[in-house]
Amino acid sequence: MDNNDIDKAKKIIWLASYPKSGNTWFRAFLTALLNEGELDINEMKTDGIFSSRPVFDNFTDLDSTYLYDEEVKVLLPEVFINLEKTYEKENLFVKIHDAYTYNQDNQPIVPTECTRCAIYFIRNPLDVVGSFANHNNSTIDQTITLMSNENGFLAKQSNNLNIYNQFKQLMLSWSGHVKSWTSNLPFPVLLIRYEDMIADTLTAFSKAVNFMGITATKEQIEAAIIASSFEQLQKKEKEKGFKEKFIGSPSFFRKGKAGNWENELNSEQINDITSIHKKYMELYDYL
Amino acid sequence: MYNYWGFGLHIASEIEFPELLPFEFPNLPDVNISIGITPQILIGEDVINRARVSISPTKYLLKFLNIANYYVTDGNRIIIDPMTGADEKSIRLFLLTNAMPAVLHQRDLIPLHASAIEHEDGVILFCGGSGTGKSTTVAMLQQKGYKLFSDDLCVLKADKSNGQVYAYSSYPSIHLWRDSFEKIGIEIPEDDNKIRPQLPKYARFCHDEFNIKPKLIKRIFILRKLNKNIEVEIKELSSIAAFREIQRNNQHPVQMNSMKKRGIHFDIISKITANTPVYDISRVESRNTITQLVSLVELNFTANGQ
Repeated sequence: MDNNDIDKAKKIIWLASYPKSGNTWFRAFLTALLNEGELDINEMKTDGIFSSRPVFDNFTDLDSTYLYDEEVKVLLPEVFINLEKTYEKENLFVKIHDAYTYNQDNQPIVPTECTRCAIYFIRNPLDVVGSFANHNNSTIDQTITLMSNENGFLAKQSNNLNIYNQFKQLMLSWSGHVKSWTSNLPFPVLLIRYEDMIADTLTAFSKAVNFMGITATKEQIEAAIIASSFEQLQKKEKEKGFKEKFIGSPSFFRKGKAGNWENELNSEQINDITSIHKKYMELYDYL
Repeated sequence: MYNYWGFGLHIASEIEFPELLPFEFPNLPDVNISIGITPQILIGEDVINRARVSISPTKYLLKFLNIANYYVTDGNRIIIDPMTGADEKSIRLFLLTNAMPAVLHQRDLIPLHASAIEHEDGVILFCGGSGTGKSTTVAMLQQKGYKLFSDDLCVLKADKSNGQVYAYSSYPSIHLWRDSFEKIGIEIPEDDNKIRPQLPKYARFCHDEFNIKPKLIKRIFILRKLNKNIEVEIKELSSIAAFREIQRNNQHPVQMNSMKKRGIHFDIISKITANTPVYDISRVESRNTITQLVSLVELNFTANGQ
């Protein structure tokens, strides 16, 4: 579906991506755009993450630590349908790293009823690896294995415990994630390449703003882009820290470049990634 | 019919609750639990609907997936409509964690998300969100000889005659994740003790050493785990900060708001923070610091006395 199908009566705009693909940068941009150019990276003006346990608990009156993951996945669509009805804001921007999958009742975990559209951020998996490894404080090889795992999870807890602030998120493999969000979904999806965001930020972000049905002038968009530039984000993290950073990770905003994989990966690692993810890398001009 | 004491109330139940304390009482029960048909929906202008839960000031309806529907009315009646094939442990668990707090709210009582131990003539409360270590802390203090007062939930009630707030325990059981047993060095129980069949969380019963008398709150610790490189840090909170933190530990804000109990919460928490020292204890979330936490807590309440 394209943006001709956008229904502005529906409030939720999903900011979907595999981790480390530009989602946080875009949320920083949106924060600046919605806040007259002001940006505090620890007080983003977007509306949380799909996997948030506190949001879930507040809309179900349940202590979700007592629930099985499959029960959570059945209730999550109802939580966001209810959330959309309850909130008075015109637009709700919700980050999501889960792949677009189905729960045990064969319903999509992302509810269609309340969804206006989704922006899907994609980044060359060769660059995702180094950034994701840094984020998780894990090795390049461990990260390549996770990105190749067709049953890959984010925020999965050891020993099947269930206390993290976020639910575990089924991402599938990197290719599986891309496929799930780009396969003829029942709402409009705009795919944006991270590399295009870097090469021509104004064009990429203007397109997204227009797609989401948000009114903003070119000047407002330019001011928000300046406020959320990578240098600004790095500076703000250095000055005040960033609460979304994992404790073991040296920094969240690391390099912000495209093509740095050439300095980070050996030929065997490059070969592993390009052979496993060949189909979708070719489709999105990464090969 | 089974008769119990739980949450400061006399409870008569059609189904057996091994979690609650068997208790004979001469008068009518405060709460009746029965199996029956629950309404499909709640109707009325004062009904707030969330995801599979509907709440009005006097009615509460939770439709929990394949387990059961729970209908709570007027602070004295719970009807359970179990789904076919639902396991009994799960049916009991969500009654204890959801329907009972609804009963308490309907009776103008406050269910506070807190575990507690007895100390001298009062209790020490440990508040905090799920996963912050409330149960592990009281279990470790129990190992050191302190008496468990309540796990996960304390019922708060103001005494109208003297204005003081008393805590009642919930029921004689403590729920611990599997890794908590390893952290405090005690044996992991048999699978029969799991609180739900597929959940690695276990119940430890303590019916023999359980105190049903209300106790004054002597001290409160707010437990927090942070994504910060710290070990364990403690600081006393101002009354305003203490009020904010205790209010944040309301486990059922939807119930409080939908039943219009904000005023009662405000009144009781204000009374507590006016007279009770409240401390914030923050620690790193990625390492096991339970031993340091318990040492710090013990030092605090023994050195400062009551």
